[in-house]
Amino acid sequence: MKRLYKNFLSPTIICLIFSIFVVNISSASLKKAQKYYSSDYANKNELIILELVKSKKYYSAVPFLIKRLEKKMPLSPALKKLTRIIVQKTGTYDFFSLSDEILKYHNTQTTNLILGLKLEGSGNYAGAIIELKKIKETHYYYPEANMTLGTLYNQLELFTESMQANQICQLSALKKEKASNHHKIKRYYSVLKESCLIHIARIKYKLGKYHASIKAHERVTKTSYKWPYILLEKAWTNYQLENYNRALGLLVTYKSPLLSSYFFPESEVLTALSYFKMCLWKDSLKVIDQYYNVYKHKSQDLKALLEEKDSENDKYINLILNPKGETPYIKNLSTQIRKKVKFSVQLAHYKKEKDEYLFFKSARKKTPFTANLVKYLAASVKNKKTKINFFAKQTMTEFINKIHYFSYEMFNIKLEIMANKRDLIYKNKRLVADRSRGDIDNLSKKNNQHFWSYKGAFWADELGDYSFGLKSNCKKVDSRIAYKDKR
Amino acid sequence: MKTFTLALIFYCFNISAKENVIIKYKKYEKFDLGSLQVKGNLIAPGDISVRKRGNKIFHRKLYDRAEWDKEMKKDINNLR
Repeated sequence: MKRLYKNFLSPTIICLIFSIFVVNISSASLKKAQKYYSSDYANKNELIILELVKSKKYYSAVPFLIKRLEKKMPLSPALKKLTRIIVQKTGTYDFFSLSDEILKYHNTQTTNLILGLKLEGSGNYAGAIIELKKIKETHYYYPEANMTLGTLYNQLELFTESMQANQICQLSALKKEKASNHHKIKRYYSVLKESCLIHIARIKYKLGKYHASIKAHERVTKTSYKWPYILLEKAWTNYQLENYNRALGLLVTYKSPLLSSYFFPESEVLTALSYFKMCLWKDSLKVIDQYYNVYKHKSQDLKALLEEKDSENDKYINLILNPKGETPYIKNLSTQIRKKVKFSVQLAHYKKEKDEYLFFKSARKKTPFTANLVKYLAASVKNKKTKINFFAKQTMTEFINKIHYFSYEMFNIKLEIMANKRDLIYKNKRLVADRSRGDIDNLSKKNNQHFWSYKGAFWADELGDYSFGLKSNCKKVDSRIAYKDKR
Repeated sequence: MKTFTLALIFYCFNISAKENVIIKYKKYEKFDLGSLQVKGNLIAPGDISVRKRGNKIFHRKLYDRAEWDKEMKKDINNLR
């Protein structure tokens, strides 16, 4: 009993003492912040920011930081550090309201990033490059700045510079990921590292260096959250290399139960195209018919959902977080949106800011300081909620548009097949076989790839490594000879 | 008055002179096409022939992926 008492109570007591200590520091800092708010100190905003950061009320510190930044007065090293922490915790979005002139005036690495992203958003790529290049290697945002630089150079068709920036991004993100102890920061750098690797693969694809593109893609591990998305890109690269069997194998991965929430209309088009290129017209037509049958209903469901009156501000957040009662397709689409970085980051910001809002709203003692903060936080929380809703709605609308766009592309393939069939009849010819069967002889594999036959089940470790073994059916024979052979 | 009378007389003479003209056309003319000769080289083929042409097949532009620029831009905008 004594032992149990000792084992159970010791950590609990330590934990309690620690939490009381933390709460005390936090409340003490808030009291100080309130005191500074009603004071006449010249640097009262700086003092309030410091106390709010100490009490971990980062979102509440934002309006005071914006007020301070709006003043054309140099920032102290301590305030520069606080600015970096607040932006890191709350994101760059709230600071886009600052003018370009003010952001340029302060010229800290954090304001450089904010201005760079702001200029990129407005299409001023040259201006954004100047700002982002100012961020130094030691800075927290160095990998992200280089990732953005890589994309901007690519938009300007400066491919060497783009490759360099993405390589710097990938290496620096890897270095910072290893050096970090915090799991969220590790994850942030891991996402950056993988994104930059994918960007390298995409630039190589654009330049027609398909083998190099596949190599870069293969460096993204299967555990990466980005991995399901790059299957389509890898399939396209194999398609360009005329390795249609590998392209079909990569695309069939999406049919596995593990990836049921990942469905892309483009993957269906690429499947039909791969069959078409191998002159397997029956298979291609089957994919096209399936596309119309499956996606027609999906598109109708989604359209009906989007056309419903969305008077509630949180309709889409609720739908995505709790899609019970919806069709399996809507549920899967909700999962797809929920897994997106932007959605999860913005949702986290929204929840944390809402917590701060509720904290100040429920404060026993109402002061001008708390009243001012409650007013600001209520507006900001509402704004963030609208932003998340907009993102979800935008993603869904984009999805419908894609279904319609690729439906047109499917129709084109169908017309092309019909034209080819008619041409064969005019020439009195036919294709060598009606349907090619899979065979290992038709498989092209590298020395590090092994062959296992598919027996109707998807194995997690095999996902993404499938290949079909179909023979191209493009050989044309004289119709009369083929008829005689058949008889 | 004198001048007018002279002009009238001259006019009457002129009319009577025109009425006396008799126009005759050739009733028959024969063209011997075989004896007609045209200077130049003969370049036309000896007999009528039609050269066989291959059927022109118009291919539709099927969907192709040239780049991933939009996706790259989305990646940086959707990071935060």
